[in-house]
Amino acid sequence: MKILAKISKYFFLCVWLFICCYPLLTVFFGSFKTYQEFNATRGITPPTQWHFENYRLAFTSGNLPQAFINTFILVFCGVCGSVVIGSMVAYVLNRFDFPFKKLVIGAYFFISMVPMVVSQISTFKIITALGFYDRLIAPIVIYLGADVVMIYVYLQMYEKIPIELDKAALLEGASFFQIYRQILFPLLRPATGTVIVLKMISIYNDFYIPFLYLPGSTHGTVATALYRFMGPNQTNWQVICALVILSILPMLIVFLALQKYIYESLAGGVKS
Amino acid sequence: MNKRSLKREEKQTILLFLSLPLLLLLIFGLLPIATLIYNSFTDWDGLSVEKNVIGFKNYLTIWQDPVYFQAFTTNLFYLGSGLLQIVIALVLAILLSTKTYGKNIFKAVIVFPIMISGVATSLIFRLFFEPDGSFDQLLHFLHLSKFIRFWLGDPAVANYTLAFISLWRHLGTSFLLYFAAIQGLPQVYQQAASLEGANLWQQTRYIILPNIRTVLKLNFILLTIGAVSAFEIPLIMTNGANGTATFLVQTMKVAFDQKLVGLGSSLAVLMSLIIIALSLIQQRFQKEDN
Repeated sequence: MKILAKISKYFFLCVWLFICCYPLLTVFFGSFKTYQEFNATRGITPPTQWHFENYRLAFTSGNLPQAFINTFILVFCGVCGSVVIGSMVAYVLNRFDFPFKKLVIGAYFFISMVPMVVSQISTFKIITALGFYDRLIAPIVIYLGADVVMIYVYLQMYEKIPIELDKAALLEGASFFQIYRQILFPLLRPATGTVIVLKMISIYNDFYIPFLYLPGSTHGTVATALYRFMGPNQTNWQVICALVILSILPMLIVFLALQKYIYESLAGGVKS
Repeated sequence: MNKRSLKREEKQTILLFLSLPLLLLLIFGLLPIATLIYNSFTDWDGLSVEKNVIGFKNYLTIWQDPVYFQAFTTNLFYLGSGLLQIVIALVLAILLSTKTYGKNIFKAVIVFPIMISGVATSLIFRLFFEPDGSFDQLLHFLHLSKFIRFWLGDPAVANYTLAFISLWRHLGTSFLLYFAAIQGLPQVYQQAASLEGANLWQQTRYIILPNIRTVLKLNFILLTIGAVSAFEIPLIMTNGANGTATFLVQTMKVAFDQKLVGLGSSLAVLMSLIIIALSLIQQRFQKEDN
């Protein structure tokens, strides 16, 4: 009986492992095949010879180096901005009392509930009017303007830090900025880790905003470069496969390096 | 430092810390939404200068023509996949919280799909589900060839296919929530229970499930909101063709393709109201449990 339970447990786990990996394997094998071989043997057959030609083509014709640079800039600015803005806004909201405080919190939560996709008609006009269209600043201000996650994560962290700490520092003659910068910010490290991980995943994977605001060919991100390459190159599936693998690779590295933090941060909502 | 100057410094700090974030919030968060609500009361086409306020007429159109709400039936597929996601993720989390060989490999593989972008995911599955693709090959191998269909082209199955892709992509998040919740349970209960000879099912029924109730409820509401706003996978995979247009995909088509920005905005406002209602329910739940 015990053996049977064990067998069915591993069976179930392996079935899901298979479901997760099998679709990816198709693309992985495909990316090493030649055009002829890909069309002759579609699906899940390993290549007879492993060709790296597709990767070279993907890298040069898919405009990938520029896309990686752009994505890196967006992720970097988005993450830094989220950490600074999130921790500062949450500091004020958690530590001080002032009129409109509830309104500010409410506004952040309110915008998270309106599907961003549809309000882009209006956002588009604003971006154009400001002259941000087709420039990397456009996605950045949009990511930073309407982001409730960072505020929420930091607010929860502040609640766990006793206010006596602030008061003691105040008596010692520290300014509010010093308290925030030198005492609280270092204590917020777990929240900062969470914000970094979540922002990184969401910006790297975002498709719609860069697609809308960065139409110039030099301005694409990894996600849009992939989408654009596919359009006129529907027959070059083996190169598309290589592009897909190349686009996944950085995330795989990040995932393996930050695994511990990813588990903690995505599960962070549970313990609150 | 006296009290008054402290008060003044406090004010300065608030101003300094909030001015830039609030400016961004106002311009790129609230202003577009205000315009969206305003547009929902107009007959604007998105291009012309002319924009007439027509009151609640758009809302009346939506109310009278059932075709607009019909798209929500597509969203039901994503709700179904969300429910399945809860069950599978829960089973995986419970199984992996017991002693298991290769635990880390299982965990990593279950979670990794959430790191793959929507575009990459849809390309992977376009190849996977194409005629004679890997999925069909698998069915051949299992002697199930007679079930083979046009997985993405046949309106009778396309939504099931897309709902499965959504499940594949998002299951990792639910798994992580449950896994962390189970890890957070005091070990003594389970140790005591297994000493008394309780099997895994009994432990699940009497110890694990009652103690992770909050997470389950939270996840359920999150998945419901996700199902209501499902859009990326049907947009990139099929562009809403073959009856796969979810409410949001349809709203975009009304606003951008049919150039009925006013009507599209009304649909968006209605959808936001539904999401706000669901979020309020979620907050109620969380308060009750605290």
